[in-house]
Amino acid sequence: MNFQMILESFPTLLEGVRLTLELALLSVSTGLVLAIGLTVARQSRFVALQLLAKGYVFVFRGTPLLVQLFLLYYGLSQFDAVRASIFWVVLRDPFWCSTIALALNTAAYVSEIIRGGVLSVPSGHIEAAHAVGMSRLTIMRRVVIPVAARQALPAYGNELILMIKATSLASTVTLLEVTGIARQIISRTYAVFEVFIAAGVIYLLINMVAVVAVHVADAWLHPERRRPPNTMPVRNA
Amino acid sequence: MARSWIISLALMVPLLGLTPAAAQESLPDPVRIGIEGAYPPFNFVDTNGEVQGFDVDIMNAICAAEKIRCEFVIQDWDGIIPGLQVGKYDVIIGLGITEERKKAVDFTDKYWATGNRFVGRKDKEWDYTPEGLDGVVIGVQGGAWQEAYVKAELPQSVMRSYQTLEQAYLDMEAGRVDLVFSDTVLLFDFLNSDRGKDYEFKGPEYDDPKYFGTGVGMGIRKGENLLRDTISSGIRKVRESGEYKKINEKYFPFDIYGE
Repeated sequence: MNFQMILESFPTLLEGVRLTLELALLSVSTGLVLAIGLTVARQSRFVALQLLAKGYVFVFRGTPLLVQLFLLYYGLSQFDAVRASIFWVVLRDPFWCSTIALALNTAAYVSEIIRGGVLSVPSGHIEAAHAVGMSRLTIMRRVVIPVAARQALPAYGNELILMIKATSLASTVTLLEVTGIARQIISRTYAVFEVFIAAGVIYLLINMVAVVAVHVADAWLHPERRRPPNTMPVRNA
Repeated sequence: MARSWIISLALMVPLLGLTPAAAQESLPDPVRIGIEGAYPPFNFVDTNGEVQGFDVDIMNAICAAEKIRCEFVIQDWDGIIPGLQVGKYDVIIGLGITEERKKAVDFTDKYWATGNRFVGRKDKEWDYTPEGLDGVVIGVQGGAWQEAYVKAELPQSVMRSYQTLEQAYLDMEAGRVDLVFSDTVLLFDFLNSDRGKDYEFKGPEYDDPKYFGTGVGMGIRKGENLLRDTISSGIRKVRESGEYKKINEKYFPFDIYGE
């Protein structure tokens, strides 16, 4: 073990952080939009839409992300029709392939997380909201979403961390994000332990920021846990 | 008193640790051979999960000539040297002999040596200089010596590193990669296959020893001289007996041993 080597590999590895963050942020945000669409489809009155959403979640949750990425990147590119289509502009690029694969995958998990959150809203609350004359939209905004978000946030925070780590799979389709750069340094220096320790520390730091962000969101969603504004101790009460 | 005793014991520990390797007198039985299994025609895994190829035939001939028992262990190229160092196997087959690697492992004599070339589509041509390859996408195998060459000598090109050469070919066929840079014999295998009919060798042959070393040998843990010398002697024996020539002809229509 060579501590000098760990320190020396940091600056080079940091060059990959930008790409890691781009992959994570883009795929997490598109994945969230997709997931909301899937949840809506799952709760829809049309059986076909329900089945479609169910099937999607089944397939993308049930197969490894690496397999999905390889099918998208190496698999689709074998068809002349795909290479001739307008999608090729996007699909020929390893960055977009990785982002799409990550987004499609996380959408399946997040839609289940959101569904769990929505189902956890007690029906009594919704009936009460109806009784006081709220519209469907108002009920959504003021009753369902706040409660569902609180329930779903811990699981969503978990998924966020998993996604940041999953970006490392992009190194298998030639992207030089943190793991890709780590592999490259290792192929030159053979310092496997040192370089992967440094890479691990970088992922830890990124995930630390993610954990803090989830904490802040959690505190914001739970106003009742905050101290009341008047915190002056009352003397001789 | 007690403290100085502990210190002297502590001083002895590294000595004890070194003794077995330094004074190694006997060969491991069986000798385990670390092999990638994804480098056809040198080594590849057949449909039964068995490793096959030039490397396997040569190694079996060497082991027979030296009367040792050999066993193959498949290992991804990324971890091939660390795997040797932690003792997953005793020999790496097919490791290019470079100054950089000599710091990490000892080498036997080479058992083959050929040059390196580009391969690309027949209907495209470039000027094979650093300026001429500006913006051209070059596919290489990650961790292979061609990667180091492109990085240092062709900085204006766009290099893509793949885990296997097969993936680089796939991306060349998909049009994501313009040229694949690798060992002449490996590329020869690709060009000779049905898939290779639209492709050809491009540019000159590269053999700068600074990047491409002095041939391909077997990597051995540092200091295991008996094992290293046994295998080097095995290579000489199969060369002299004509066994090498037979195996060579089975895979390549030209001599790959080099000078």
